[in-house]
Amino acid sequence: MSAERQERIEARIAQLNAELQKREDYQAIIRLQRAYGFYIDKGYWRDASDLFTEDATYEQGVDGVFVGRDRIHQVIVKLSGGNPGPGLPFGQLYERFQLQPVISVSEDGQSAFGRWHELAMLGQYGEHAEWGEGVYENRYRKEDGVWKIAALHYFPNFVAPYEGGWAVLKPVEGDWRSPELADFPPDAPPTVNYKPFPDQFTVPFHYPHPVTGKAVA
Amino acid sequence: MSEHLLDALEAHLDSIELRIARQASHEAIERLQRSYCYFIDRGLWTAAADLFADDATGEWGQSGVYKGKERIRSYLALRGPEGLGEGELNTHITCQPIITVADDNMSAKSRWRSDNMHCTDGTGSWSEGTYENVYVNDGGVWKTASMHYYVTLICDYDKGWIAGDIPMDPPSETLPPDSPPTEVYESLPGAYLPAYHYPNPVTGEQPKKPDLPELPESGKDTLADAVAALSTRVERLEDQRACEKLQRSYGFYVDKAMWNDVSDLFVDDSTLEIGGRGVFLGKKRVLEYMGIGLGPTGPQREQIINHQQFQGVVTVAEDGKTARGRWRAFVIGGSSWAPVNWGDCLYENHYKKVDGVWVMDKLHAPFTMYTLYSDGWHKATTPNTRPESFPPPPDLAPTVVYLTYPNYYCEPFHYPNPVTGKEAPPPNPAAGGVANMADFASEES
Repeated sequence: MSAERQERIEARIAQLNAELQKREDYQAIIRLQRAYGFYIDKGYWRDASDLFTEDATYEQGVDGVFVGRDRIHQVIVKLSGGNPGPGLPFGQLYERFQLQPVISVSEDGQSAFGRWHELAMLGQYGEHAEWGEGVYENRYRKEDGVWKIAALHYFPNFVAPYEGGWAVLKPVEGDWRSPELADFPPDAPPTVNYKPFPDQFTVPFHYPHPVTGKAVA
Repeated sequence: MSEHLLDALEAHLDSIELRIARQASHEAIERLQRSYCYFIDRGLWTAAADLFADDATGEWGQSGVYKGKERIRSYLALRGPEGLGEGELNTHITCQPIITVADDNMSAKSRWRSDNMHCTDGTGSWSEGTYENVYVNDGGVWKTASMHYYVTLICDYDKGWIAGDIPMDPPSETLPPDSPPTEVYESLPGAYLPAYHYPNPVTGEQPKKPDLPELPESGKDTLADAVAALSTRVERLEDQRACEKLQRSYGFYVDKAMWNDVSDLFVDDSTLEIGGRGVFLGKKRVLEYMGIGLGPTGPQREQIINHQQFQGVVTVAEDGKTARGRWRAFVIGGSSWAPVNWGDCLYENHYKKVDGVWVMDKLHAPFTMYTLYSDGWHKATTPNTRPESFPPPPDLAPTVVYLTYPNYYCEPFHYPNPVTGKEAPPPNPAAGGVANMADFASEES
């Protein structure tokens, strides 16, 4: 009787341990992406790229896919203006808020998806200022108990001049790849082709509708 | 093993199971509200309405109350057909949740905010507001039982708030609500305080702890140790959420100039240091800093001082007695008698647990950038404040002297890199200057 109860208690401990691990994983992944944002906004490119797995991918807009942590470090440096860091030069603003996470951890607890919203304040003092807005759909992987970014995919919706804001944006025509990457071709073409605001694009959702369980959009 | 001990272990496991389930509910509710805004962003009215319970209610600004999921869908679709047309923007970025899950895990309440960017017919606008929502656990699926969105401001993009305030729409004539607005108020230039569903996290009533039988002391029984270890792990998650609630409450109270509630988050040996004003010692001086330096208590007409608390990285110490938090504040400020500005501020704060309650130990808030709305950060920036910028003077000199944007300052990170475990190196010596940073780059950069 007592032995049976003891076994049931042991089983419950194991099950609750697994449940609790999911909750801790959820928090660890949110922390990882927020930490990414706090490195990027201060020009800590090496610390930011160290958050990726060795074989991670990085994709932004229609710039194509960059593969591997070293390439990701290079692309992060180039997209931000080319300084090696850590830090930003006089007058650069590179605030990229990481907001609104929807995190889905896999059943086996070894991988996860995350949707995020970015709000950005960008610019160079005396020259220009922009608002930026977009959505991430990222993948994460746990390696030796540590969560890392396995795939970052940022879909910028717009980068709009402070003067006039998003209302003055015109539809992009033809190639809208980042000019900073003109001499830095990707390892693979974009996985998704789309056009930013004022065109319309819904970034596919990695997760089903929270109530109906059906695919969205 | 004695039946008595088995009873005790089961009682503890029952309690831990409920606490973990309530953590999972927090996640489900976060997913609901964040999905709502992701759906609204894209004009997915049906998907948004499907997040509501069948008998839910919805109320937005002065819309009046819509009852039932179908009516909510029809209300949302007043804006247009499913999906947005070219040139339409309806971005809702929802943040700063305070979620209170009921003890029995069957219902919950929450406070959120969203910052919204709109574009219709070639005209851009900003808006911001507060949600007070209710949720129901319907057989394991969380649904929105009521959503009440209180509009703080709507403004024309070119003119900004104060100069370009746009009033809320009155109740729809094409789709009249099922009942009139439950609260009649005016968005900016009006000032309104939506009631909080929760008491002050420090001075208010604290969540009840279950009365559980004692377990054998550590090292006496393997199972009891395993149960105690589980309980400690859940407690650290609860600690993290309590610190987040503390910081987010700070923001919601500052928004509305609720200086007494702000200072109540501090204790007698807490400190506060904001911008370059120096250090204020203790709760009483925190109140003076706010009340003397920042204006009268309570929300004021023709004024906005939103201090939106975003992106928290909270680290609870292993012993659960102290914690740290890195945050940012996205500031919407100004009034008809003072400059109208955007602000961006960082926090590296300390929290501590006093008699089981998390309180603000050290609030340290270096400014990143403040600019005038009329100009933008490429044209106008406000230098850091100084001890003499405005009264009252500080108790201690600033702990760090730095310049705000367009200069560079990086407040050290309280946490090591989450992947490598290494401390971040100091910035490049050329950071903030115009010399080529590559000439000064180190191995670690």
